[in-house]
Amino acid sequence: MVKEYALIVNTRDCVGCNACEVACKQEHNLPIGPRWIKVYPDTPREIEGKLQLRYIVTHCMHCSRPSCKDACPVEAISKRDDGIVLIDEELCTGCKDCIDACPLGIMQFDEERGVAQKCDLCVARLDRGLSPACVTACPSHCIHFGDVQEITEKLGEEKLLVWYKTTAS
Amino acid sequence: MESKKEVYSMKADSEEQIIRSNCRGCHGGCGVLVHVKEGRITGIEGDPDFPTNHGAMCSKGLAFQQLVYHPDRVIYPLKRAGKKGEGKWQRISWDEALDTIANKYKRIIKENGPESIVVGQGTGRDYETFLYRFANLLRTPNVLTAGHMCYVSRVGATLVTCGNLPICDYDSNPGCVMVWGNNAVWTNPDEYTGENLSRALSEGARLIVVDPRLTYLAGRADIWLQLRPGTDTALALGMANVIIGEGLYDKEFVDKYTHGWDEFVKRVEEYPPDRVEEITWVPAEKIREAARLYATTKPACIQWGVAIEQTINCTDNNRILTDMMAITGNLDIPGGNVFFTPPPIRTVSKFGLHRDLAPEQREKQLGGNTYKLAQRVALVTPKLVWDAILTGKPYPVRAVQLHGSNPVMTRANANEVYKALSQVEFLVVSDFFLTPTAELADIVLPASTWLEMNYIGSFWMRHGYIFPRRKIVQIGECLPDQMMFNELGKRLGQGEYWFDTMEAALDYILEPAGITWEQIKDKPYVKGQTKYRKYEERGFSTPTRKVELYSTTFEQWGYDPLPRYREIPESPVSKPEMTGEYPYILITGARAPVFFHSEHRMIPWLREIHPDPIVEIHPRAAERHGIEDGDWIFIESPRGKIKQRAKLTPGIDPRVVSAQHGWWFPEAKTGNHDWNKSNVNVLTDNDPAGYDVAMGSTNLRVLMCKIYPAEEKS
Repeated sequence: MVKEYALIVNTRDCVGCNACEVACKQEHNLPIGPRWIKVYPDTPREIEGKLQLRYIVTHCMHCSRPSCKDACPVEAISKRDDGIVLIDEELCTGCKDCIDACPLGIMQFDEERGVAQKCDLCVARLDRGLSPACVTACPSHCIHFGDVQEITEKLGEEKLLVWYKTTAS
Repeated sequence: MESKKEVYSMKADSEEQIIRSNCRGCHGGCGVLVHVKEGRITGIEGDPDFPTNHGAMCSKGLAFQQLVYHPDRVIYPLKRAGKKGEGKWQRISWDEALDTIANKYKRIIKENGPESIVVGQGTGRDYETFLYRFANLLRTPNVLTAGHMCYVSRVGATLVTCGNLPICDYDSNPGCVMVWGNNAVWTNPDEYTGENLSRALSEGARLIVVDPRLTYLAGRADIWLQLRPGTDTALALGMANVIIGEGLYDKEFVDKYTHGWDEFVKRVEEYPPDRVEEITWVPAEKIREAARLYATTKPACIQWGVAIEQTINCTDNNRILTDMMAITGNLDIPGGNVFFTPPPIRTVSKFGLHRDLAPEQREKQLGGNTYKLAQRVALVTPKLVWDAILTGKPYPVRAVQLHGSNPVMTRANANEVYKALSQVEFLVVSDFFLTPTAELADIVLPASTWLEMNYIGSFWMRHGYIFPRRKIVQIGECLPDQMMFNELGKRLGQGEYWFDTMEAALDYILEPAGITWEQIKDKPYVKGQTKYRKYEERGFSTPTRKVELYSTTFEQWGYDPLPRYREIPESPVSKPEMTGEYPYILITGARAPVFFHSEHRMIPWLREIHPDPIVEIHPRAAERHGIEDGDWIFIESPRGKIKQRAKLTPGIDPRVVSAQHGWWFPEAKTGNHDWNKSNVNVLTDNDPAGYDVAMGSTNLRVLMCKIYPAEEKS
C-alpha cells in the first residue's frame, strides 16, 4: 500500500520558538511575505486545571480531498499518490481562488512572483531521504512527519489530522 | 578523552559541500552543518550527531546567512567623518585603524596610565580570553563586560560557595528540573539548549518553574511559582526553610561536605513560608509543595537564568540556589547539578594571563575595593566607567574599546550611557553592524562572525566539551576579534605574547592536552572525562574544602557570610509613596525567541516574525487606562518614557507590567536608529543603592512605572 504522508504538530509540546518558520524560509529561500508554516501564541487558557500558554501552528494539512485543488481554474494544484499536495508555479496565474477555498486559511501568496504557495512537505529533501526542514530543526521535537497511520498511532487520535485526511473537501 | 572520529558526510548534491561547525549566534554553541555552494553559504542546519542540540536549531542560527551577507554589515574599518551619531563614515585601511588606536593608547598610557583605557565586550562571541590577555598585557584592570550581571556573577557566587559552577546534567535523566528565572526553551541557557530540557520533560521529568510571567514552561510546569518580581531570594530561602524544617535534606552530605550548617539553619529559620508568602505573593502551601517536590525527587537539578542576577540580590540568590543543590545531595551526581571536566587544554584563566596583571594595577580597578567579588572575577560595574568619563574621578577614562557590545541598549540608565559614550575622548567599537553604540565611535572595526574563523568554541563553558569551529567564508575585510587583539597587541609592545596566525593560537591553547588544531578541526567535539562525586576524593575547591553555606571568603571580605533577602530599592514595599504616581511593577527582561538581546532586528526572516516591541499587561490593568490589545502605549518611570505595543494577557499579575529589552530600529534613518524610542533601559536606574553588594550587579529588572495610551483614539 502506498503511504499517505502527513505533517502534524503536537501543540502540547510546542514551545513557540519559531525555529520551524525560519528553517522553512531557508529551505525554500522564501522572501518576506509567504509563511508556509506559522507559529503564534494562543490566548492563555485553562487546560487540565491550570493556566497554560500554548501556540497555534498553521501549515498545509495535505487534505485527502483538497478544496484548493478543486478551486484552481488552471489545474496548477495536484495531489500525488503519497498524499502530498503540490502547486505548479509555472501554471499558477495568481488568481487567489485557492486562498479563498482553503478551509484553514493557510494558502500563502508570493507578491514578488505573483503565485500561490504553501508547504510542499520538503519533497526535495524527502527524495534525499531526509525529513522536512521544520521537523529536523524543531528543538522540542513536536513536529511529526510520516505516514498518516503511523502518526495517528503514535499521537493517538489526532482529531485535526484525521479530519483533514478523511473528510475535508 | 572521548571524541568522534567520523566526519559527517551527508551530501545534498554533488556541487554542494557540507562543513561541520559550531554556531555562535547567541551565548550557546550548537553543532551545525553548513552548506556551501560555489564559495557561498546556502544553508545552515543542526548537526543530528551533536551532543548539545541533537540536530535542533533556533531561529537565530537558522537565519544566520542573512546576517553574514546583510547589505548593511560593516565590512571595512571605518573612521567617523561627521559628528557622533550623525552616521557619516569614511573607509580606512586596517593599518590606519590599528595604528590610530595603538598611537592613541600609547599617549594615554604615558599621560594617565593604562587604567584610563577600558576594554569591554557584551555577551561575548567566544573571544573573552583574548580580550583579557590583551587587557592584562596592556595593564588595565578595567574590563567592562556583561559579566557583572550575567553568567560571570554565577561563576563568582559558585566559586566562593562550592568552587565552580555546577550545571544541569540533562543526559542522565533528572527526575525533576527546577527552572528559575529562565525561559530556557527560547534562550540559550549557556551550556545547553532548550532541546535538552525538552527531552528531559518528554522523558517524564517533573517541572517546577519560578517566573512572574506565564511562559510556555510555566504553563507546562507541575508547580508554577508566580512570584512578585525581585523576591526570588526570599522564595528560595523559604523553600530551604521547608526542606530543613521537614527533614528533607541529605543528612550525610550535610555532615560530611558542608561548612556552617548551624549558622545556615539559623538564617533560614528567619524565612518561614508564611512570612515568605507576604514577601513574594506565593501562597505558603505552594512554597511547601515545590520544596517537597524538589527535595524528594531524585535526582533533581536547578536550571537558573540571568533574571535573578540582574537585581540587588544577585550573589545571594545564586548562593542560596547552590546551597539548595548541596543540602538535597544533588551536587555532582548523575542527573543533578554537576561539575563537568573539560579536556586538559590551557584554561581560560591561564590564557587570559590574569596572574600577569601587577597587584598595583589591580588595586586601581574601578570599584575594586567596593565590589570585591567583581574584582575577584576581573570586571567592573558600568556606572563607574560612565562616572569616570563624565567627572574624571577617581581618574579619567579617556578611551573605551568595545567588542560586540551595545551598552546604549543593554545597560541601565541609557541616557547616562549615551552621554558618557558621546563624551569619551576616544571610542572604538567592533561589531557586525552600526548599532546605536557603534554610531558614537571614532573607529569602527568590522568583526567576523563564527562562520568566518577557525576557533575552539565554548572552551570556557562548564559542560566539559570543546567544539571546533571552521572558517567557511571571508566577508570583506572582516577580522575575528581575537585577531584584532593579536594585531593591536603586537603594536603595543606585547609581540612576544601573540601569534602569527589564529591556528597557531589554537595550537597553543590545545597544547597541554597533547592535541593540535589540525587533529581536531574535523571532529564535532572533544569531551573531557565525565566523573561524578569528585568531592569524595578531593572535597570542594573552597577554603574549607566544603560547600560553604557560610562563606569564609565573604566573611573575610566583610560581607554577610550567609545569604539573605534584600528588598529592591524601588518597589511598592520600599517606596510605597511612589505607588500613586507609578502604580505598576515593571519587569524588563522578556525575550522574543527570534532575537538575542539587542541583536537581529535587521534580519528579514526574524523581524518578519516579530516586528514590534511588546509589553505584556493584564486585561484588567489595561482596561483601567483604555488600552486595547495592539495599541502603542507609553511606559514611564522617573527616568523617562518609551513606547511599546500592548499585548493583553492573563499570564501576568495585574500589578505587574512586562516590557521587552534591546529594541532599536536599524531601519530608522534619523535619531541614531531611534535608540531611545522603545529602549527599556531609558527607564531603568543605575543608582548604586540598587547594586549587589559584592558583585556590583545593576538592577536591570525590577522598577516602578505608569502606563498610558500613546495615541488618541478616534
